[in-house]
Amino acid sequence: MITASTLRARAARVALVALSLGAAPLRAQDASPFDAIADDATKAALRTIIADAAARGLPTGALVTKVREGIAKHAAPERIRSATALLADRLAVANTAIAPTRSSDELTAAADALQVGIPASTLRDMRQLWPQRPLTVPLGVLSELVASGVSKPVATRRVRDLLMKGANTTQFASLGTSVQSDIAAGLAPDASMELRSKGVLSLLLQQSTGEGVTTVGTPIRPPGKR
Amino acid sequence: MNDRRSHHEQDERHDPREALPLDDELMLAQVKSVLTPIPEVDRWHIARILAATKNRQRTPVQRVVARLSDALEWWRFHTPPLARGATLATAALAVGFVARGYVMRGEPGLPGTGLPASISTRVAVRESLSAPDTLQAVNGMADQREQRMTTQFVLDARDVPTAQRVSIVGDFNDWNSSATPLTLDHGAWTITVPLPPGRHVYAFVVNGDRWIRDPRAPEATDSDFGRPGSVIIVQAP
Repeated sequence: MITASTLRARAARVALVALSLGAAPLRAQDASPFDAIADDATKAALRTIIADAAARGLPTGALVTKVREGIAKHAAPERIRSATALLADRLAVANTAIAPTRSSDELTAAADALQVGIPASTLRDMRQLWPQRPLTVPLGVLSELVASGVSKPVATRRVRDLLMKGANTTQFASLGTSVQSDIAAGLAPDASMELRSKGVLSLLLQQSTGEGVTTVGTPIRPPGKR
Repeated sequence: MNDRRSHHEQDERHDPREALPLDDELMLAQVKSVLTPIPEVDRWHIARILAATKNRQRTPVQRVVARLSDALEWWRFHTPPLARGATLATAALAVGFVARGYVMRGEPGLPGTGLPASISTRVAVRESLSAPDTLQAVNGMADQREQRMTTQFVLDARDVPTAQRVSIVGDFNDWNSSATPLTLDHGAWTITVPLPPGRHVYAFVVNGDRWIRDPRAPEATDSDFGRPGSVIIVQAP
């Protein structure tokens, strides 16, 4: 006969076993790279942030990498904690925006896009345009272009156009490289983005009709320097 | 007079109003016996009593089996049929999802996934973090990434004339300055690193303490920690 008290006793025994099993890994934390952080409160806060992210199903690798980046750059503990917490928040927003992905790379790319100011609604829109393909490279290119000076509306519109027309990741990466080269050569970021994306779009059009065009090459010189 | 009495007696024998009460009582008794509910029996307690009696002659294994059987009986007795169906359906779904997870979790390009690479690369699926993964993450171990593309980094030796050793740090090696050293070859420090597709931030570390960005790559603004770095975009295969 199983009484309530027996059940409680068994539950207590199971909990004790679980705690004893968990004790060894918890002791192993003492040897973690987080020990480079002198502040115990920050270490505890970081572990809480990461454990909380894991409980929410977010990729924790990006958070750990952020902590290690802060340690490697000799940042203050509070700054490391703040940067990690903000990244966790961005990952949570990205996780909702580009659901149902579980790719840590894709989520990290979406979090980077949020950091440069791309709204979550744009990410949702891109997910709808590319429901079956990873957005890692397009989002990486978008973030990089915005960080390089291309205005958000222009960059978003052009990347969206390319997604709709079915550009592949190679074409996105080439676009990013070309625009960056143009900007480095002195061309206005928005103008370069428009020109280069039109080139890729025409290439896609040519591909659909069977002809070929190349869009990569030497940077376009700004009009004033010709 | 006699005729009237005998007539009266005859009337009394055949008067249905006097015969009905007897039939009604019988009928009522029968109806009552049919309609009266049987007192409720606590089947669970009876089962426990019977089980306790049987347990005296059972082996330990039989007792465990009997306990399980009792629990099943208890569940059946205390759970409405609809709830039983829902529970069974939930259990079946859980088993299905677990089985699906085992089928779908293979990484693209790895043998034994049971899926062609073209299918497995299309959908970005990564299984949820298990408890050990979570613990690893809390302990500072980053999870393994998926596909990686070979990428070469080159630093002109003339840019760092005093360099005795150069390494590369980035989000791909957890910013570990001793993990990925470059080698000096034909006047250039070079290294080839497998990177997952996407945007990566990196920097070179000269002589273990001086951080410089790649002069031939776009600059990355570091809004978190304020150190300059460079950016590379790796395309998917």
